[in-house]
Amino acid sequence: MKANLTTICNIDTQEEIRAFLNKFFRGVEDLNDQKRNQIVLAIDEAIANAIIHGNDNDDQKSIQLDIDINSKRIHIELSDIGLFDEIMNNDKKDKHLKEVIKDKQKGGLGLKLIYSIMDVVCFYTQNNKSYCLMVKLLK
Amino acid sequence: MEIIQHYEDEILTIQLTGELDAKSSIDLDETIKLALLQEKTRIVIDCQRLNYISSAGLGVFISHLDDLKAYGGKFVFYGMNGSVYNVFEILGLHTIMEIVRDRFEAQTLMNES
Repeated sequence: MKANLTTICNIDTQEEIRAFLNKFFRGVEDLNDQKRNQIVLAIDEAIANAIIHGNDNDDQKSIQLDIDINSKRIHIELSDIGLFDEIMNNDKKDKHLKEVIKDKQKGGLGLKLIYSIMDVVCFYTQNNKSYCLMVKLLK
Repeated sequence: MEIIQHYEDEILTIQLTGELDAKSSIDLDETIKLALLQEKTRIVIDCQRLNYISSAGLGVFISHLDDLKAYGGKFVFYGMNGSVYNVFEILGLHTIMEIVRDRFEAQTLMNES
């Protein structure tokens, strides 16, 4: 199974994207409701980071989402995510929750969620494009 | 996302309806900031109609947690569905936040403090 979409960099689009993802992942047999919700959440977090931090919520820019599923894994790739501090200095994801609370920190939790939910997470650049690759193993 | 507030017996109840994400969390943050300014620090969050929460929504609660405690208040959440509760669980927030089943338990817990 494959799916792809291109979205403008505007946080107003997120609810619509989640609806698209929920509909698509309902067709995947090996996913129960909880796993489906978690995967949609991880993708939503990655897209939110790319829109807000990577592309400054600039709706003249767009990001591309590609999903490829086989019997063993879900492969998700986001491209044109921009380069943002949270990825380049992603120590926030390793921060203890008590420190997050003490620092009254709002950001950084999205990356924590992504790394907790996905089995593989990788951010990289190639040919002047930036990517987020996430893999969820099914079995 | 719809945010409805109700203040009674020194308890502010914030009812959330819909999806709490990067966009809607801005409104929630303003709501809680205003409540703090008005010294409404005992806050019950009614999650019965909350369908989704992202890190941005969680971030709003986390960022105000210590301020509420400093003023002798707190958050109590009730009526969470399984998927919303699971997001709290993934980050370990279910052990830090006070989460109960229903309004009665929420009020009881709030009045104990």
